[in-house]
Amino acid sequence: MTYDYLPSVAAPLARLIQEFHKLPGIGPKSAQRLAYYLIRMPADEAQSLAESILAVKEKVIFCGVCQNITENSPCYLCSHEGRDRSRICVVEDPLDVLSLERTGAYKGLYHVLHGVISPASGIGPENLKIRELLERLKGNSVAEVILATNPSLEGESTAMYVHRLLAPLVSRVTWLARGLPVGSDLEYADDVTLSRALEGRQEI
Amino acid sequence: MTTPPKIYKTEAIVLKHFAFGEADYLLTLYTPNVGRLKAVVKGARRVKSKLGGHLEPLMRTSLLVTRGQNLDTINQAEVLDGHRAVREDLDRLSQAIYMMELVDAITPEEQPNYPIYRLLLEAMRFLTEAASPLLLPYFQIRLLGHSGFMPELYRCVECGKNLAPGHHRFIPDRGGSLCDSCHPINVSVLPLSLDTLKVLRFLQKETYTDKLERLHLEQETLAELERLLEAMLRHVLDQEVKAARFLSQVAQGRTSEGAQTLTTTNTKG
Repeated sequence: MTYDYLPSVAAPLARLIQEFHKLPGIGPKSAQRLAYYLIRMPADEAQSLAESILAVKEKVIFCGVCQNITENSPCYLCSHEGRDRSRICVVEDPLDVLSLERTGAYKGLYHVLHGVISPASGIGPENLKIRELLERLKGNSVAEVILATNPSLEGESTAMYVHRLLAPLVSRVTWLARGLPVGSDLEYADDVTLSRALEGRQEI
Repeated sequence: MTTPPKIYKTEAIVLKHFAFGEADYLLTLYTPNVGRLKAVVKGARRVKSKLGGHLEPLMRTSLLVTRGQNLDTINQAEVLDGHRAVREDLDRLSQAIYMMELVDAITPEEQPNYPIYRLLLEAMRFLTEAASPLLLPYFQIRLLGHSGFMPELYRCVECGKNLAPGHHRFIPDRGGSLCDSCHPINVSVLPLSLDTLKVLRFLQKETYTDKLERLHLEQETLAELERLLEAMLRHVLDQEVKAARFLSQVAQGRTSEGAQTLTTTNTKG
């Protein structure tokens, strides 16, 4: 790699700018600003930043059970005694686990697929952790699998595809209800959401 | 020439979306008057988005769009047809996704082609009603035709003579049928049975109706049809259609065999 395009910049600094430039959403100007900020940073803070980047690459692994990102396998949630082991909630990303945990309404286990089927981007079922889910279900008696993928085209394709594979293994496969988000406006609701919200209406 | 208006209204079918920025989507649309078009929807990935639910792929939507310097932005959207029956059935959904990618790949940007728009609507309407094995071949051959690549099915593409029944093959790179006496070199030639030729001619000529769905075809004819059209599309597009894999994976999964292969090929204990 060459940093010739910045001859007036010291080579180590030019290298740092290039590294920042690789990050998502960081353009050439922001990369330069970040690099110059780091120069003025106290040495111990810079040390700590560098170490935490390395630690994240070395110590973080996938949980052998739920495939979530963790330091120990099985992860905190999978080894927690208070969790309901008869339920598995299937989500797209590790961040979805955080969202569901924040509700406090779910006490079961999770399974992270690490993506969704997206035929147009060439991401097929074999690129996701679907095989691991099926393997996990074969050994254990699970009462319910909840498919909690996003209600988008990709999320729904994934849920339907996974459902087809799970059907012979689990007695109850559910997916999250579609309805109106809190604080929204009926006027702007789309037909699919609104008709599903009507179907899922409840007694007050 | 008048300058195009800054704000315009159009209807469109959403071909695909692509996560963009913090919470936006970059959409590829197909419109009746402008053809294939790219536009941004701001904040569409937020739960409370007013537009997101109206702009999912496969949906037919009425839009208000602002022209931008690089990209147009969608200000208002109201869904005209969500094609819910297609979205909720994996077989039909995988076919629809394939069709959307095909249109995306074969059409040039911002060149109006109304017949293609109508073909898309027609295909989605039939798909909403039922999945038919002939719908996809029909869509493929018509899309090729409307894009200027209608296969030649009556004469030999080499010598120009009319085909004698029973003596014909198919040559995807030259876009049509080949007689028995011509032997071009360095191009792949595929077999073409009389049954398949008849079906191809029929799909090229007739409009799609319910009658077509009742037409009974041998599995072999369908497979040959699929092979020929796929080869022709690969030649025209000069790339693979990525959704084709998902299409076959879904078709495989319909039999329990497909599920078996996925579960038993695990390497871990």
